[in-house]
Amino acid sequence: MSERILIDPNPQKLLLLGNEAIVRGALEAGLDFFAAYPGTPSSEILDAMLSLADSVGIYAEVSVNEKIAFESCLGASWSGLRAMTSMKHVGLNVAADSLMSSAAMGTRGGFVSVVADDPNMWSSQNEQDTRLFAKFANVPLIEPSSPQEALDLTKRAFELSEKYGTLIILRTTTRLSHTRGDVRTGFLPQKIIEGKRRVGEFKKDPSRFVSLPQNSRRLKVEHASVVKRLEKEEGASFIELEGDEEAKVGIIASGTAYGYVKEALEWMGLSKVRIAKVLMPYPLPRNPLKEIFSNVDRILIVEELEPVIEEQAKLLAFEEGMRVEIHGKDFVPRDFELSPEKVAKAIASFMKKDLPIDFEELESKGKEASSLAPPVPPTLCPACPHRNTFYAIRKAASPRSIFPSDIGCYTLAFFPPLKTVDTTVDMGASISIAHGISRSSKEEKGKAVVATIGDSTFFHTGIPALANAIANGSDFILVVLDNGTTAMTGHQPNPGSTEGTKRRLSIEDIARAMGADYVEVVDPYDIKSVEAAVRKAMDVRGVRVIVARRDCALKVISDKRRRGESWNVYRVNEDLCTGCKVCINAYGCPAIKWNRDKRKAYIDPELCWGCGGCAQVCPYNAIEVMK
Amino acid sequence: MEYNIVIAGIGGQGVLTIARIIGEAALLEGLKVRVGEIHGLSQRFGSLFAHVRMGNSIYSGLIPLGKGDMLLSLEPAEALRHLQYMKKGAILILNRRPIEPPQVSMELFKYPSLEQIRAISSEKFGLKVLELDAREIAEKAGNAIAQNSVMLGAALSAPGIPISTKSAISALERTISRRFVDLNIRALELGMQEGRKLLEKVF
Repeated sequence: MSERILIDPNPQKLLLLGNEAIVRGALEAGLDFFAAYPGTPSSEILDAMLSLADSVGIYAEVSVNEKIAFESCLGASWSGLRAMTSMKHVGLNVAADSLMSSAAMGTRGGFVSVVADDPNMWSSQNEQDTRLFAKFANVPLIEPSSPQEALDLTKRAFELSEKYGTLIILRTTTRLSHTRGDVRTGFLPQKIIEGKRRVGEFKKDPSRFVSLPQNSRRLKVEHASVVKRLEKEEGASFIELEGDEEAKVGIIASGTAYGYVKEALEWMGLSKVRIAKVLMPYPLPRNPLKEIFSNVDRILIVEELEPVIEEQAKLLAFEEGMRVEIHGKDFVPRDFELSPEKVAKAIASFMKKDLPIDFEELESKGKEASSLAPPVPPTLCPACPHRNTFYAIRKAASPRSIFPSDIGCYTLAFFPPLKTVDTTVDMGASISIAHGISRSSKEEKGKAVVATIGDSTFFHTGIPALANAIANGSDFILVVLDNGTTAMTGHQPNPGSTEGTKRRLSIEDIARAMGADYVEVVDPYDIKSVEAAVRKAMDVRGVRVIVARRDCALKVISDKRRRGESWNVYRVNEDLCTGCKVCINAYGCPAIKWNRDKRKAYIDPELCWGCGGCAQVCPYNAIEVMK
Repeated sequence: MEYNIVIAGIGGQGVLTIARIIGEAALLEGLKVRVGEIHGLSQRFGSLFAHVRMGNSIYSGLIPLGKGDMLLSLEPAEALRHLQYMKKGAILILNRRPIEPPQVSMELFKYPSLEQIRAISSEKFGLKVLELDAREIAEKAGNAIAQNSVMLGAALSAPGIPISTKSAISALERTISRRFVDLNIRALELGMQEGRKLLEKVF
């Protein structure tokens, strides 16, 4: 889609994703500097920044990981520029060292860190609540509940960051980042319209910017008072009160949960309720809440994931000696994403009302119906070079081999028929886990440790893990699945990409320079050559690196489609097909289907992207290019 | 006023594109809109859906259970995962073309028959089922690639949908690449014709 609509100088109504609204908000705030590593559900922010950077005069980069992105922004902010980074929740773990160490040092130019949580783990390895990180680091956190608020609060976050000299975290969740809504945009500053790049200047202040204990002890105390002051002075504007002022029952909600509350109340026809929308979950604004506490008898706090507001609210009531009854996670689920039904159920039981619909009956009928639908787990695309590489690894290494893998599209090789993923923890862990396994297990003939990692992940946190393994004399095979892009999150470039980098880095040169015991580059579209390379590597000891290089098929095909080019499509020659099903049960390309009546395989021409891997895999040479 | 549509399909079929076009069209109609999408992992040929919501009292991107007005299913079996979102009397527009997942090719799971899908939808959930072959109609319009616009056209023919053909076409022009606009408008019109024909039988 075209990001150009985001830089229309005049205010207008647009249908924007939460993430796009954040981009517009940052541009309206006069952003100067942007650095990020992609991660669902935050990636569209990076995509838009990359595509707009030149025309609006901001610096934008894909950093190799979140820690480096965060610190680059810190440098820019300390040089007086307005800086922003974006990441997913687990990305903040990677940047946690920087966050914890720099939080008290403060900012000069506004510095906003967008962190997108993923309740329900739609595309993540865990579920974590960034609001706890804000409390941990004592950094103010702002949370919008709609695309419009995403724009407005991003703008506001920059002002606050500069006014109080502190980092501001802007938290979103998948449901907000990936919801489109009608958004009224504001004006763009002249600097953005003209596309003029602002130049910053770093002013030395060693007593602030050097984290020696003598400085850090002082800064910690100073920063705590800044956060207190911000809560006192700005808090009231971050709680919106609505509903019945006379009501004896109150509901406090934030983020997407607020929308579910509004709809549930309307749905059940409940109007005698006081509602507070919290836009700053940490530090929780005290005065407006005290006002509610003194007017109602009972309160329900509806928030997604952890009881962050609940615990602060209970503490506040205790400290103020207020007798209000506060509920939260005793009614609202703590695990996974909230939904309109979950919230309606919580409110109904809190207020002892009937539900508007018999959810249980609907849900059980729904379950019965969906049980008839075949499972459709995500899978590697047709013509994905990774499928060929995994297939070759399985052929070369005995099934007793161990396959540590990593975070990316290729984690999908977990599913049958490839089943070449035995472990996945977090970015870069394939290499360190392989190291740990190979250093702790007894060596047996034919039982190899073959780790797999993508190119972007290799640059993200794979490099230090590889250095560690080689320096500690480890013994395993590492296959770098190099498709020249960060495919999972929408094709952002990485240091190994041929497009979008200032200078391309070579993975094999890095491995050689580190002293790997065996390095080879292969083409996954030639399955035999990958198989041969893995077999050869099995005869060598030490850390062996194979780079399997071939561009991401999804990217190649979309580029071809855009240019109106065609590609070869394969077909099954029914006279030669014996119905052995190797192409389906061992190779598993989603374009290859099974004809139950004829007991033969066939290829859906609409899905075939023409890699020819199936033709190499078929034992009867029954697959050929369609004429 | 509130109108809720669930769009279901397999990653790569264009679920998000249709959702986006309907959302843009609703905006042109001056309605408040929310489109809930799923990105990332689920798009790799997995099961995928989007919620499109239009109306005055819309605050979230998710349709509550039992409040859906239309289920637009680009793949027949995918409809089965979303029936509980529909209210009684809602419309199911079903593309008859199955995309069998690997589990079915591997003979680990049986693909349900169209009769089964139809029966559950109409008898158990009280839906009105409109069934068409979007690919065949798209080919008539010039290219199978325009299947989505056929489905969109069929959706536009439904009574009560607060989107005019004019807004839908403008939204389409704003959303998809210029080279394919004419083809898609033709497909949309054929889809509408087919939708109207099917509706006469249902109502």
